[in-house]
Amino acid sequence: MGIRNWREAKIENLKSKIENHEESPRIDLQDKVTGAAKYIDDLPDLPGMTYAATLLSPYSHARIRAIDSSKAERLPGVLGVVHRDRLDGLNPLLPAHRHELFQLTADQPFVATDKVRFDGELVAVVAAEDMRTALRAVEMIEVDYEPLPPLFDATEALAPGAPILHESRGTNLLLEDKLEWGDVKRGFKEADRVFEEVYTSPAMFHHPMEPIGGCVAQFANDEINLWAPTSSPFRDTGEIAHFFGLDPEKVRVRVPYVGGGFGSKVITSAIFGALFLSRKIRRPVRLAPSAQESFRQNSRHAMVYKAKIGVKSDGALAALQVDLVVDTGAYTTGGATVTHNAAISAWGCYRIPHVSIHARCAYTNKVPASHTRATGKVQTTWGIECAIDSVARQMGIEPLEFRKKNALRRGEFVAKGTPAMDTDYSELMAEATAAIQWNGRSSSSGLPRASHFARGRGMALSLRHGSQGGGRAYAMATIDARGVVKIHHNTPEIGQGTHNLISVVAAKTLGIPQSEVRVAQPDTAMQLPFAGVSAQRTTMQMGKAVENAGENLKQELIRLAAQAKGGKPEEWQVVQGRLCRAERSFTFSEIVRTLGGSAVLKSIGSHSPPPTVRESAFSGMDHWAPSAAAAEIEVDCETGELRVLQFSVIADAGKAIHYASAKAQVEGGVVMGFGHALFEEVVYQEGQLLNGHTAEYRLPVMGDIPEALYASMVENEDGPGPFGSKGMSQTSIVTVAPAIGNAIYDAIGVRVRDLPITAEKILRALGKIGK
Amino acid sequence: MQDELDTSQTFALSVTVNGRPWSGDVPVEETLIEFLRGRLGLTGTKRSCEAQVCGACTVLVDRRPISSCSYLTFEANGKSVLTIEGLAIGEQLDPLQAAFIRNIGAQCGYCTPGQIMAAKALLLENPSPTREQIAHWLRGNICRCGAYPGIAAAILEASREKR
Ligand code: FES
Ligand code: FES
Repeated sequence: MGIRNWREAKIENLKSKIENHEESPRIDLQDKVTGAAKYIDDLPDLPGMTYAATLLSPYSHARIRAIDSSKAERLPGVLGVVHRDRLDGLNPLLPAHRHELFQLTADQPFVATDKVRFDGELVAVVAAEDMRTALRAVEMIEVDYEPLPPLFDATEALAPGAPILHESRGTNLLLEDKLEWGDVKRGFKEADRVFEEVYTSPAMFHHPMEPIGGCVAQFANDEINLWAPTSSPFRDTGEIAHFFGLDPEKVRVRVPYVGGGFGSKVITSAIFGALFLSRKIRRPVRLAPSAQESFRQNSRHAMVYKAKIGVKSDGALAALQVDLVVDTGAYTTGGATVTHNAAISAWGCYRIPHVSIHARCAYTNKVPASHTRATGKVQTTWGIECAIDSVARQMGIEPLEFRKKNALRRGEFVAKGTPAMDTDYSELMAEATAAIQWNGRSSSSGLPRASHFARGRGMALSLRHGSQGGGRAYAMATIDARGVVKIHHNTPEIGQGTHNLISVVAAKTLGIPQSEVRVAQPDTAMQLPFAGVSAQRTTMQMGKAVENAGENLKQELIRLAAQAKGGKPEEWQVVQGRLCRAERSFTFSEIVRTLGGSAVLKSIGSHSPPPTVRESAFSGMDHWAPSAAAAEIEVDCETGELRVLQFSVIADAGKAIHYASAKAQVEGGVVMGFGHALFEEVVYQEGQLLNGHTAEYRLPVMGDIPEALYASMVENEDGPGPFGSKGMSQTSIVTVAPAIGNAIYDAIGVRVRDLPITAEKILRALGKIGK
Repeated sequence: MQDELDTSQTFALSVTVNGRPWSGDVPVEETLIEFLRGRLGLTGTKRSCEAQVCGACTVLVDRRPISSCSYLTFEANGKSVLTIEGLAIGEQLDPLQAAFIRNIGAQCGYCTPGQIMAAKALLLENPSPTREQIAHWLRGNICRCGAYPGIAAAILEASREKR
């Protein structure tokens, strides 16, 4: 069978796979295509609602000499103002971020106190009778700034003599992480050749289409009711309670549909300001931030990846030393997670006997950086996968063969305490390359070309660890006398189809149709702990908790049936949504009704991830989440313009719980990866954020994405999640930039080492324009 | 004092929204998205960039797509506005809506009403577009979740169904 036929067969296969999955439609989509889905902006006003606007710093680094808000406060309709001189004795310092492996200290006040450290830092919040008045009042606040020299580069920030951004710390170094095995010095001695490679990734912005930081905040009678788009409501309650000195059960967070997050949707400084004002003015406060404000709430860490790679003459990797410089922006935010994730992913997926990775995370005057889809690994995979390709070619070995030789095989261990490799990379690579009709061999670049268009192909592998840590996850399954099953949880629906996943798992576990399961919106009043929708945690951890809750509910129904209708529990079983014993069978509802009144059966389910311990960098990990990708591109050597003609990615999903949704997640990751690879960069110039608006920040549109985008999943049902699933939502994004970068080298024989890969950089690499 | 001037000026508006006539006074500077969401409670139309870049706020005015964030309400005087809420007939979804569900043309769903309305306008103008024409038409509708493959498939499928 020719490759084209093979591919067609594959696609046919895929279609029938989707059809054969006999999946119910994703449960959230009916609301989403009719406009019925409610997001934070769509929630109705509470009685007495007020509207808040924010004053943000126009400087990236400045001392605040004075703030005068008297004019604003006199404006009719203004109800309250909060800034550093209007704190009523509250300590403005936000709680320190938590990380299982690092001791972090609080470094960020919710409103600027002595200094501002990034363009967009919150200086004041005003609540008024209407939004127009609030916005006018904000403009009437006078702030006297003394501009200070800003720092936009983490390497510079770490150099001796750099201005210190947090004076009391005495250094711009936030934290360091190390990962070592073997003896890297010996490894380099044993190597026949040693290569050095550097790859950089800029700051980018998540840019969810729903702005970050909207809320409805009510703080009355020492109780907080907050509606906000956040990915981890349960965790947030603890932090909010701590900040205001309340018991955590006095804080209730509810989460409507969330319009995308990718790591950016958190409780913002301005939301703390809105809560403060709500208590002060005794009325609820609404925030509806603009796109510009959204841009200044969050970002992805810029990173420098510097590798020294030792190889033996037979092509076996001997040693790897990596230096990482991570730019966390003005405050800690996601600094610990990203630095740790970068350190533990910087070696790729290869069998390297001697490894030494050192990561340093520094403060700069950029917008603070937090978790971003595949936190820390987009940057390191760009580094290692380009470096591997480059080394292979310099050794005169085909990159495909080099990867096959060195990639970990199923069952191999990375290091002590890690799960064994649970995929076959050669299978993933074979699928990914065949999907773009490629035999995996390099083009013979350097040959005269017929025209100024050059085509090339490249590939990349990724190894993302499955969810790590996060503590126990809980869910509750209930069934009422009408037989309605409802799942309660604190898992926001932020776009991935989490609620659908919950309903599929519950339905399968209970043996009932998916349409008979209701999934509640997250509400922390249910007090069900969950770390939140991040780090590929939902499928594995929440999936397991829901499965367990369903199983427990089933057992309770069985015990109840035995009690009400006779026999021993062992004689009862659930078959197609009915409770059966010998010849007799009952509906769930009939059994619940035997309790009389308005009985509701409730059962809790939980899942506990492996413990995280300081001694092992990989501890707490459930599984690996690998993928392989291949790209075919075309470069116009006259203009530097790049077109991606085909892209394929194969993710190891273990088992897709809802195939169509999982595939859409893989595709979505690729699309975002195109942005990272080709366009996106938050630019700072002359002390300011230059392109902080949708109009100035180029995002991928449909026309950028080739029709030949082939996303598929391997399903060997070998994962630890429900039905053999693994976390897989973040496996595709990381592969995009290196696959394209390697394809460019294949086409034109030069490498671009700084993201994004623009036409200008291609021309510069070709020597067609100067440095 | 510009603001006070603005807020005191109103316009006597008559407009049809989703087939229903509406008339009343609106401030001259009120945008169509404010009118739809605030006055009529039609919150399906979404606010994002507020600068005519992202397409989240797309609605149809006399069958043509416009960015309701950058369109003043009074400009719609005497015209007919169609929003996402007006697309289904009773329980019967528009073929586009049904195809968006089948093809996972939405993930977080925030851009979705805009995508569907823009696609609706396309199919009104060109009942059988190619994928390339679809991509060109939707160049102003950003989906950060990257549902583009699903969106394109949904529109192609809906266009085939109509024929
Ligand atoms: S909100 Fe109107 S185009 Fe973006
Ligand atoms: S579905 Fe989330 S932005 Fe399009």
